[in-house]
Amino acid sequence: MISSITDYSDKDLIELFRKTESRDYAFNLIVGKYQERLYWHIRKLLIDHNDTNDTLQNTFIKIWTGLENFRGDSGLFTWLYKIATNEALTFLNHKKRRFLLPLVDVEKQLANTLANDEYFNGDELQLQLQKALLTLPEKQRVVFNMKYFDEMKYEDMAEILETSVGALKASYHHAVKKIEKYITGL
Amino acid sequence: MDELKNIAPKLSRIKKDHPFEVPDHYFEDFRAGLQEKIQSHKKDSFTRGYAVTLKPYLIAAVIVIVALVGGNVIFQQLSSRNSDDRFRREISQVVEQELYSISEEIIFEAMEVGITDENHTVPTGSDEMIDYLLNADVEEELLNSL
Repeated sequence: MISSITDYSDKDLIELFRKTESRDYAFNLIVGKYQERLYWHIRKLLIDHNDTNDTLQNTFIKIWTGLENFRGDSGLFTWLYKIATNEALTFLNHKKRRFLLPLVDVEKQLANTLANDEYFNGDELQLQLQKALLTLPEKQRVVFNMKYFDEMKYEDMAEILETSVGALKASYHHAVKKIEKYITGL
Repeated sequence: MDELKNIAPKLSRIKKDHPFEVPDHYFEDFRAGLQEKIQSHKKDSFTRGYAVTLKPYLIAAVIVIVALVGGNVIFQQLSSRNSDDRFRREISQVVEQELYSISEEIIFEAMEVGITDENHTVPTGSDEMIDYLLNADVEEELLNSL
């Protein structure tokens, strides 16, 4: 007898979703199971809560639309992460284009809003780390977040980001060096 | 972790927890908000799907209407051209018939009057007719063919 969300495997959830009569129920379970992890993944990239909320909603709408055709070549979680990452990067690019700002200015703007953000409760060092992260190229930031905060395996990251393990290791190493340099230079 | 301490000692001393918060009850309320958005998305995609389904039929209907209207215009033009031709043919037939219905006597009478008016004698025999035609500068080939 299945009694809670965690009792359903991803495979069960996908099968439930494919049945028309249990589609809404299955989707609710998927949202319940993954909303927090996806939220934090997006939030670390976009910083702002409202932007994150919009992007998370769009992510789940994409998931709703695409789950029926999900072939299961990769794990459900990998697929969800991939959609969330793409949505977050697309949001950032739209934001840059919308305000006609050079790439670096959006990151500067985000760094400035961090200190006054009511939903940011980090100490001074954590604030500096977030500011250092905002100086990195987007993809490098994604890699750093996934490895450093989420402690994800390189193999899973490679599947999500569709790149090689070697390239990810190099990217993470560069990111760590740049952050260390930024913090040391303060 | 040791590797991190070696290459980035300062970074390794920073707390690893992410420093962000969410509004109270955000995750509890998120699902309700998402459901609303999904419902409106379903409606949109239904309308879009309906439009996509109907699109080929609409295109076919437009093509049929254009073909009908165009065909009608062409038909009208052709039939008016045909009726003009037919009218011309009928007229020419009438004219021909009318000409045939005119007796030779009437024609000769008319010629006689014309020639008399110009003080010429009317040729009666075939020799006279040939002489008459020679005088009238009719070509020799035409005369031979008579």
